Amino acid sequence: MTDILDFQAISKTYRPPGRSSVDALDQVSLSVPTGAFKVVCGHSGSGKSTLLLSAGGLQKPDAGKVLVNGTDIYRLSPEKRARFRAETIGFVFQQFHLIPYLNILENVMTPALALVMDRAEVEQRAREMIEWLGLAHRLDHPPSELSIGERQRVALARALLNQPALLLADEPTGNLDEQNSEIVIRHLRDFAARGGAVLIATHDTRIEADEKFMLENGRLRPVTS
Amino acid sequence: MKPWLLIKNEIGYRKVGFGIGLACVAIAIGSFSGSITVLQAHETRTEEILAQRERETREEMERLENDYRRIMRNLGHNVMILHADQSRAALRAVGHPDTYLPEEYVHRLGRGYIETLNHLLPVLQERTTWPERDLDIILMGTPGQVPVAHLTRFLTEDGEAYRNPIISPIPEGKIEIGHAIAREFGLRPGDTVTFMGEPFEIHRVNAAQGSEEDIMVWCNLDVAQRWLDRAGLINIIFALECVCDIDGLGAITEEISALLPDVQVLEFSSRVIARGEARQRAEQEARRAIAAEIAHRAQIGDELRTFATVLIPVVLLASGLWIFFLILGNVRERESEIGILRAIGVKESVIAWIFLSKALVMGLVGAVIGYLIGVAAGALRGGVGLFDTRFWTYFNPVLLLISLLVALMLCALAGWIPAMWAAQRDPADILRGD
Ligand SMILES: Nc1ncnc2c1ncn2[C@@H]1O[C@H](COP(=O)(O)OP(=O)(O)O)[C@@H](O)[C@H]1O
Ligand SMILES: [Mg+2]
Repeated sequence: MTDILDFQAISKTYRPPGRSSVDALDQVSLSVPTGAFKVVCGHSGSGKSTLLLSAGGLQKPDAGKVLVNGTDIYRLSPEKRARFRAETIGFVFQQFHLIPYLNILENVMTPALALVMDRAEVEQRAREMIEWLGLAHRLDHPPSELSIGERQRVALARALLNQPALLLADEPTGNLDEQNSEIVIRHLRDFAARGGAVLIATHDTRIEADEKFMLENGRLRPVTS
Repeated sequence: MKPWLLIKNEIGYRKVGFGIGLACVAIAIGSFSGSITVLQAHETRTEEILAQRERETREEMERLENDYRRIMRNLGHNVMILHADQSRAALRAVGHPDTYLPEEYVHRLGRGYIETLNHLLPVLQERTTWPERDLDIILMGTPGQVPVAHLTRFLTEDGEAYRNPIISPIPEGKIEIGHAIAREFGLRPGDTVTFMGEPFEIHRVNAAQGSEEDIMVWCNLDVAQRWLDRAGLINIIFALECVCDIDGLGAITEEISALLPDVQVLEFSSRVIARGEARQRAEQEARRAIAAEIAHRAQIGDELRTFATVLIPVVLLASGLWIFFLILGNVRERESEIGILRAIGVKESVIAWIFLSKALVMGLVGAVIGYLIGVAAGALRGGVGLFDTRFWTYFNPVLLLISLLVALMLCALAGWIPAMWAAQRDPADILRGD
C-alpha cells in the first residue's frame, strides 16, 4: 500500500513573543496509506491541531518533512501548495466553518472556487455528496436552519467534493451528540473503505480505528488495545 | 463557482454594514458632486441676474431719457413769453397763465430773424377736468416745435418744419398722460380712452416725476384749443436754448417786444440741469448697484469655493476612514470564512479580491446615489428649481464619470489594507480552534 501521508520527524515549537515557548510537536512520525482510517487521541493542548494543520500544508513545521502523495508540500510555493491542497486534501473541523450566507448546495460547492471545474459537473457531484449524507431535502437551506449534526455532515460533503486522497478531521465529533458522531464516523470510514486515507484527531477515545495513537506533550506513541 | 457569488450573497446577508458603507460613499460623493454643482449653478444664476440687472438699468435709462425730453419741453427753457398783462401772482396761484396770446405770435417770432432765439415751442396749458373720468388734470397742448427762419440748416427745404425736431408734435388722435393718471385708471400705452367724447390712443405714459407733470395730459395744440374753447390762442411761448444770458434778458426782451408789442419775457430757473444731474446720478447709482451685485455674487462664489475646498477633502478623508474600518470589521467578522477558504485551497489573491471587490461595489453604487443626491441638492441650493428646465442639465455624464472614479479610488484606497490583511491572515490561527 502506498502512503498518502508520510509525516517524517516533525517538530513544531510555538514561540509567542514575551512568553515561554511551547513544544507542540516533538519528532512526530506517522504514515497514513490508502484506505487507512487512523486516529490520533490526546487531551486538549496536546498538539493534535498542530499535527493536522501541518499535515494539511497550513502550518509549516520547524523540522521534518511532510509528504503527501509523495510530494514534499512545504517545498511548494504558497500558490502551488494551495492548489495542491485543493486537489488532494479535504478538511473537517470541530467548528464547521460553513459560510452563513450560502445555502447548503453552495457551501458544498465552495471548493470549486479554488479549481477550474465544469459548473454542471461540480453541482452534480455536490448533489450526490449531499444525498449520500442524507441531506438532499436541505439543499437550499442556509446553515443556520440546520441541526448541529447536519452542519457537520455538510462540512464533510464539502471536504469530499474534490475527491481528495487525504481527509484530515480535527475533532469532527467534538460538538456532536453520540448519534450524530456515529453518522459522521460511519461516513468517514466509508470514505476510507473506498480508497481514501483518513486521519482523525480527537480527544474522544471511544472512536474505533485501524490504528490509534496517543499524543502527549507533543510526542506520539501507538496505542495497543 | 465564482467569487462573485460570495460577494453578492454576503452583501445581501450583511445589509446594514453595506448600507452604512453606501451612505458613507454617498455622503462623500454627494458633497463632492454637490459642491461642484452649486458652484456651476451659482455662476449661471449670477450671469442671469447680472443680465437682468443690466436690462433693467438700460430700461431705466431709456425712461430717464424720455423724461429728460419731457422736462426739456415743459421747463427746459431759458425764457418764456407771456401776455404783457399776465400777473405773476396769478401765474403762481393758478399754475399756468390766465391770459392768452394769438397763436400767430409764435410764427411772427419764427420769421423775425431774432438771432438769439433757437427753438420755439408754443403751448396752451390750462387746468381742466376730464369729464369722462371726473378727474382734475392739466391739459398741455402743443403743435411741436415752430421753425425759426434763420436756422435754415435745421429745416426742411420749404422751411416749414425741422428735419429732426428736438420736440416732435404728438401724433394725430393720440395723447400722452402723466404717471398719476395712468396709475389711477390702470392705463397703458396703446389703450384707447375717451376724452370729451372723442377717442384717443395713449401714445405714452410718462414716468413719475412727483410733480404736477404726473397729472398732465399732453395733446396736439388744435385739440387743446378745441377742448378748452380757445381757438387760435396759446398762453406761453417757450424759447429754448436762447443764445442769451440772464444779464442780457433786457436785450432779448427789446428784440421780442419790437415784434410783439403786448408781451413780457420771463426767465425761469432751469430745473433741467438739476434733472440732468439727477439722471446722471441715477445712472451712476445703477452702475454701482450692478458692481456691488457682481462683487456680492463673486464673494458668495469665493465662499462656496473655499467651503468646498475644505469640505471635500475632509469628507473624503472621513468617509475613507469609515470605509476602512467597515471593511476591517468585515474581515474580522468573516475570519472563519477566510480560514475555510484557505483550507479549501483558495489563493490569497482571491481572498483579497473578495474584500476589495466588496469595497468597489460599495464605491460604485454609493457614487451613483451620492451623485444623484448631490447634483440635485447642489442645483437646488444654487438657485435652480426642481421644475426649472435647466435642472436636468446639471446631471452631466462627465461629472458622473468623475464621481465614479473618485469613489472607486476612495474605496480602493480604504479597502486595500483590510483586503491585504484578510489575505495575509494565518489560516492555522483561525482553524486551530481553541
Ligand atoms: N499560535 C500559538 N502560539 C503559542 N502557542 C500555541 C499556538 N497555537 C497552539 N499553541 C499551543 O500549542 C499547544 C498545542 O496546541 P494545539 O495543536 O491546538 O492542541 P490541541 O489541538 O491538541 O488542543 C497548546 O499548548 C497550545 O497552547
Ligand atoms: Mg485542537
